[in-house]
Amino acid sequence: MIDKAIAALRDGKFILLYDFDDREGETDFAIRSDAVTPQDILRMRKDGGGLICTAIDPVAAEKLGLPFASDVLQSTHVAEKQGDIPYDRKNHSSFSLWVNHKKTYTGITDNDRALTITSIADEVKKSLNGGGAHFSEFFRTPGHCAILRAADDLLDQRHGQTELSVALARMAGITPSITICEMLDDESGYALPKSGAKAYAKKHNLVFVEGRDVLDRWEADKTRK
Amino acid sequence: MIDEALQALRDGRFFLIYDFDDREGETDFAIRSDAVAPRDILRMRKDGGGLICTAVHPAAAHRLGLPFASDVFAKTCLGEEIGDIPYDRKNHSSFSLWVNHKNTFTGITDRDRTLTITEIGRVVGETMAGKNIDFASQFRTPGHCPLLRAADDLLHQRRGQTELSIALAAMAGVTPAVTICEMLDDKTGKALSREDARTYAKKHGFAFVGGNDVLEAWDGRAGTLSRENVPTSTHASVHSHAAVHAEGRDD
Repeated sequence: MIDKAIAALRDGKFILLYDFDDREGETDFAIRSDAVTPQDILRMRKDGGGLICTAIDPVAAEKLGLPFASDVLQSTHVAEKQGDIPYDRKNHSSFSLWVNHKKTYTGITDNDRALTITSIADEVKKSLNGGGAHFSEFFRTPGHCAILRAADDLLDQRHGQTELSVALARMAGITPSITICEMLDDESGYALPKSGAKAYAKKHNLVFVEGRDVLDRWEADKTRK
Repeated sequence: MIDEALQALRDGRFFLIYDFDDREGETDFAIRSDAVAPRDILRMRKDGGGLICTAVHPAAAHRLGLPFASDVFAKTCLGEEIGDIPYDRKNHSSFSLWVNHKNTFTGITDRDRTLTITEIGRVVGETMAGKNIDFASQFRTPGHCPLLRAADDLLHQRRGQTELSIALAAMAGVTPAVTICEMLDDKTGKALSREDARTYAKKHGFAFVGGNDVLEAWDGRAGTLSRENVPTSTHASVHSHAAVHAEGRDD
């Protein structure tokens, strides 16, 4: 499945990415950010229902000056502390800033979010090619698209969809910015169970991949190097 | 329609609120936060599609220590500046913090968001009643539920769904925390048109109210105070209220 997932990601198709039974136990839609269209936003909000977030590579985040929200929000006294996240006591959440591209109107429509997200991918790409550290020229915060900053050591440090998806992007050799959205269950009020996500994948001919498979490839790649 | 919207607020039912043709031109779902159930989150995400946000009264925001996000993020160099918002050049956005209740798991499921939102409703009610609340002991940021902080002078200052919904809550005499979600169009990639929002309201038996209706009721309501959720009625406050409003229009 891992090779199919990498290929689908490269082709700009959605994949479904499950983390781990002993973590969130949640499946996310995942698609490369530079391929996102308004139809893709529609699908994520209709069939996913969670927040539509854009995960980016830690090297790009550093170059673009995108901090962790938990750091910026320390001044508010409401900020989370290490140990607060019930499914991962050793890390803080991966939220960075919430942004809108400056050319959006309200920032929330499918057209506006597609513009913001594809433009984030542009900046991530430029920053990794030695330019494009002018994030604030093109975006403002607060906005309607959440950016997630992957942990510095990726899967060696944290095992969330943020790190899983950015690791997959690196394996695929594409711009390491992936847009993800949690799949929720319409009946139970909980996350869509793994079986439900697998059934959706089958019905819509999408690749379903688990954190374990990504982690196995990650470890194998390290050994090879 | 305003009376139907006020009654829906009191009853904890959805109503739809449109702002203005010359502003966002957008319709939001709106429901009092302390009445939100998981099936309401489901409806907003399925039939609305925008962000599910919770607007709170400025007095509650002050007492709970909830800042404007634009102030908190000013130091990131990406912070928006006055004039950045294309549909309202005179105000910043109303975003405050994004929070999760501490008893949530991921924070995003319908049940988790319901817990966060109803608890916000509860603490807003309690703080408006004068109780001391330690917000940070019950919530953490960042999280999955954005809070919106209504402008200090409500509709005298800003006319977004944030202020419109909080003004309605004040007029309805309910806890001024209202959860709202933008209605998006599935075909055009834009906001749902006013006409289509009205059709949806009719189909589902929801009240539909426009910003102009709210402004009219607000202006006509003697002595509705912007900073306090205390409906009083005195001749003097009618005058001061009208004067403030006229100034706002002349700006």
